[in-house]
Amino acid sequence: MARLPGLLALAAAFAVAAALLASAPAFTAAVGDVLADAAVDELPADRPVLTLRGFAEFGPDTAGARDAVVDALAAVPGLRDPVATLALGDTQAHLRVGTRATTARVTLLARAGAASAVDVVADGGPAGGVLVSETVAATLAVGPGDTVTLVLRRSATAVGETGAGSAGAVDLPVRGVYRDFAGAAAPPYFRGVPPELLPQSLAVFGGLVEPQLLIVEPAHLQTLLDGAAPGLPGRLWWQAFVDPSLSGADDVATLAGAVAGLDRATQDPFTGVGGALAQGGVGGLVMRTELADLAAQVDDGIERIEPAVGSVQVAAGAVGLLVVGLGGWFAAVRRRRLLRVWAIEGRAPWAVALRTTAAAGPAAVVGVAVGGAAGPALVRAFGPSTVAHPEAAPWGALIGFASVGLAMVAVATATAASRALTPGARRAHWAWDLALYGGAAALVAQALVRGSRADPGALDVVGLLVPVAGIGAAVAAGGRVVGWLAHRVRQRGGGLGAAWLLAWRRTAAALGDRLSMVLPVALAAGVAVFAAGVVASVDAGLDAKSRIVVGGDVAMRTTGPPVVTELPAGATVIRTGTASVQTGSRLWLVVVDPDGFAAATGWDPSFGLPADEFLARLAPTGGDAIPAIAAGPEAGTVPRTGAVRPAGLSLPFETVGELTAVPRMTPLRPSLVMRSDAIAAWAAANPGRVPAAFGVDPDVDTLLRTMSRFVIAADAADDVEALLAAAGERVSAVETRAALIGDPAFSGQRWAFDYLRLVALAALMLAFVVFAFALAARRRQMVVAEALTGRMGLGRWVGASALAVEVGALTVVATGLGLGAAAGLGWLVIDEFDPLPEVLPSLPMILPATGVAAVVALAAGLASLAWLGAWRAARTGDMAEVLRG
Amino acid sequence: MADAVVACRDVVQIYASERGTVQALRGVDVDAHAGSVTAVVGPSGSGKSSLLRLLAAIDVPAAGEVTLTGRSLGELSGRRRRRLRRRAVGFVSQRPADNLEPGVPLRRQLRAAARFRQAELAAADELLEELGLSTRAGHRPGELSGGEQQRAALARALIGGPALLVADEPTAELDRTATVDVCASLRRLAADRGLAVVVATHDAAVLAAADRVLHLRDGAVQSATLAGEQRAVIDGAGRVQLPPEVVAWFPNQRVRLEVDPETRTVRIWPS
Repeated sequence: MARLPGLLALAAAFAVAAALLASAPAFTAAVGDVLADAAVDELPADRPVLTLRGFAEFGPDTAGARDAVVDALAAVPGLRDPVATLALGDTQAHLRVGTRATTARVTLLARAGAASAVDVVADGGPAGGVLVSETVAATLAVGPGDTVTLVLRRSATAVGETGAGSAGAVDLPVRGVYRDFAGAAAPPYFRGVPPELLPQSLAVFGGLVEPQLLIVEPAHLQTLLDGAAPGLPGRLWWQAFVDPSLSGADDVATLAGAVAGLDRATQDPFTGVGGALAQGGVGGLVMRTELADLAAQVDDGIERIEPAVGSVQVAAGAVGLLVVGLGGWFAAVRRRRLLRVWAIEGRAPWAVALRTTAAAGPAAVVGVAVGGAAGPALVRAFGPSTVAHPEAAPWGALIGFASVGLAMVAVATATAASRALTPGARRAHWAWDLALYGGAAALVAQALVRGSRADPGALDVVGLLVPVAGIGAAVAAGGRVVGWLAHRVRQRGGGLGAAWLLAWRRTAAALGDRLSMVLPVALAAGVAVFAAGVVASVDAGLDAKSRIVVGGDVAMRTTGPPVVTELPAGATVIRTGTASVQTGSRLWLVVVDPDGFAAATGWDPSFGLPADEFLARLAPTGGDAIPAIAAGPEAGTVPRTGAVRPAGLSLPFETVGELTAVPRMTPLRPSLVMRSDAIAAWAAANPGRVPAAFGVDPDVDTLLRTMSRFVIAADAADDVEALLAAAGERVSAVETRAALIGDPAFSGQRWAFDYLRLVALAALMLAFVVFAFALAARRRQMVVAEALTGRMGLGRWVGASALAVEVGALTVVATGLGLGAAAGLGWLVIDEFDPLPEVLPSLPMILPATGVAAVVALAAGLASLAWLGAWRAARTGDMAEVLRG
Repeated sequence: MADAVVACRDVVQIYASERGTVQALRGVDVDAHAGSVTAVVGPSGSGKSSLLRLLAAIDVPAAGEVTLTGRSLGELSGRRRRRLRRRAVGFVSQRPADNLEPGVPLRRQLRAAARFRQAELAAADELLEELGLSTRAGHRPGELSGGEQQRAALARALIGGPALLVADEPTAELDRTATVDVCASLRRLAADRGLAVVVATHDAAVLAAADRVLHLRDGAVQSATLAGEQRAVIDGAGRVQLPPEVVAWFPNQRVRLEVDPETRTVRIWPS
């Protein structure tokens, strides 16, 4: 029944839709990779990311337990350099030599490399002995070759014991003496040592540093303990570092799973690692790791984006099914004579549908197979990650999609077959009636169910799926209106030239009777523009919001007295802090330096005033009050005049304007902005109103010393930071606008809509497949019309022009409906997509010219192809042959 | 009616349209017997197609009764009526293109029809042979002439040995030679296979081949004549409406009447 071009078109439709379906989970996986990579990048490379700690009663099997855990850690993919640390001694351990004893607590530390990391000042004792600190050596008057006794007491937390008491003692030969750590600052090697073992300077005891570390190579520890009674109390730590090659969500998930598995294994005292630990006298194991959080972080990110991508997937599947169903319908309409023959012969509609489905089955299978394989490849080419995820292709869903698609073909064919003998019931309004009523229900749902800011999943489902359905509804409703108008004016057109008259009548007929061919184009165009609009709006919104949150391209928080007074061009200082006003409410006080302010902050017009005017309004007036501008949420509640009180100071102010936003304002309360030179001028003019605690003729930094101080710079972060560092000014934190914009928590949504835009553009191609199906179904009329215009003495251009005008008009109507619906719905729902809703009142709805132009250009190109194909078919058709069938 | 393949009694057919209901048939009585060719003539809108759809069991009457091979259509479900149509009816449409699958060689589509109607595959070849299409069996419909296509349509319609063949103006788009071929085929098939053939036509050649001619007008049978006999009605004003083919005998539409009061006969001659 089916012919090759039709089968190819069907296979293409299935392939494109399947590719879109298959790319959704691959896209989610790719986003997971990006999230995982970003999270892994934040992990420290120079300190352990996993620590396992346990208490031990040292015995002959303790070393075996130590090695078992090290081996287990080494087997975890994504971890590297597992290291074990053994510490003998607890909170009350001390050293004794004769009658001399240490005051400070001591710990015998066995850790690979530790002995090499200290500065040995005296050596010569037994190689298997311990290194003692200068303090211990001086306290006990010992040196290399001497022996010290480590006296241990069992603590309440020791394994299987309660209370405290003597646990034993062990004699330790002194191998050498190492230089005391400077204060409590240990050499860099010790940054990796469990913090519990790092010497701390105890101020209450006059600078006593403890624990004092006795250091021994791990290989010698057991030898040292051989002579002691078993069961000496101590602790073990195992640590591991993250493998820098760790990449992708799967690796992270595998790592997290392996770590969780290891954690469980250590708790099992009978088998495996747990058994070895139990045998080694190690218990009370506690694991601390950032890796579980890492996996949870990735999972959260994926969870945020999954509903959006899932919605896109559903939309892609629905558009694909619409294309396949309408394609089946138009193909059946084209074969209506054949269906009539079969119906007269007594074939049941379901039998005809079964036959059609059997014929279309191979095309569906091939299309779905190709599309399913292509989806992950498309994501790899265009998605956020270059890692392919062929395993993510949802073959179950694809098989379901193919089945439903074939079922729709069957239903369309059966419907056409059942109507084959009833000519009056041939018109198909069901497709867009379905869209109309379904979409209307979606719009009602949108009106009733608003997304929750606290639940991004719900937000995305309502915010994405419903607008897409809403576009379909708006297009269907608009199409019905246009169709009604077209029906009204169908008989008009008198006085037009031949081509225009033909085009008028054909277009009116098409709009009146065949809007189902317009609907998919309009829907795809609308969704593409909607997605592009959301992306552009989120981009623009994030750009402005990042300037507010960070202040400029980079913000460096400095602590301590400011040293640098002259900042380079493109840098400025902003001070922030809370303050109260006379009403008792709290304000966020923002003090800006006028020098370089506009250049450093990259002032955004959406803030409400041009930067020059903003600074000019705040300029010192010499009056009794400092000019101030209220900004941010509830700016209107700021008193017109009054006094703002940062700690210890009372600054009279007069509000001279309001702004939507200002750099470094807080979204939590209204902000009041002042210029630092205006504050200085007021202080100079009113010395009696400045408390004596600020001194005589205080400068701004002194006046505002309780406020946080940020050096804001535009695009010159390294230079300014270097300048501050060179001057000795401490930078305690660095924030960048790029980091904020690139935060996966914000970017995920943008990626989803970028993806949706791609999906919609691909769907636009699918929609024109429907368009071509519809034109093909009318080939007979077109051939006859072409022949008749020729017989009427009209040139070929008449028919070609008429067809071009018809196709063009339908395309214009379709894209116009789609763009209009997208713009309207986008304006209604754009707030739902605000990644930082607390900053700035709302996102602007932007319809990007490039996005609109891309849709229009693609639609124009595809319409041209459709026109060319249809005109060629009409021109090359033989009317006699057409009449014969 | 007992031995009629298809029979209509007081059949009324009403269609719903956008402008209201249309009464297409108003109390029609028709019988078609095995081995006979019945022609249905009448102007456009007279109800020919409606009658043929009823006879072919495509529709059921709004009132009255249609029996096909002894089974009343009104008592059958749509499924059983479809099965009856599959078993007992062959249908040929006016346009050759409406009767055959495009792009499928004749033998293949006849064999497909044979499988569908549970007939011997050899029946396809026999019918092609019988209708003089053996040499064209491998050709597609587009490669055949109009007459050949309609004969192929007859072959397809007759696969499975239906008792009734319904043809809706099968010669309307054929030239004279092809028309003669199709008429001869119809006549021969009716006689050889014991078919009841009902043909809607305007073609004199088909009328000449018919055993019986039904004249439909405004949904009612105006007259029923046997072959060689023509009937007409005298209206209240004394006008006689002759069949078009009879009118064609008088090119200038002027006649001379010879009236015999004794025998109450009227003879007409060209004037």
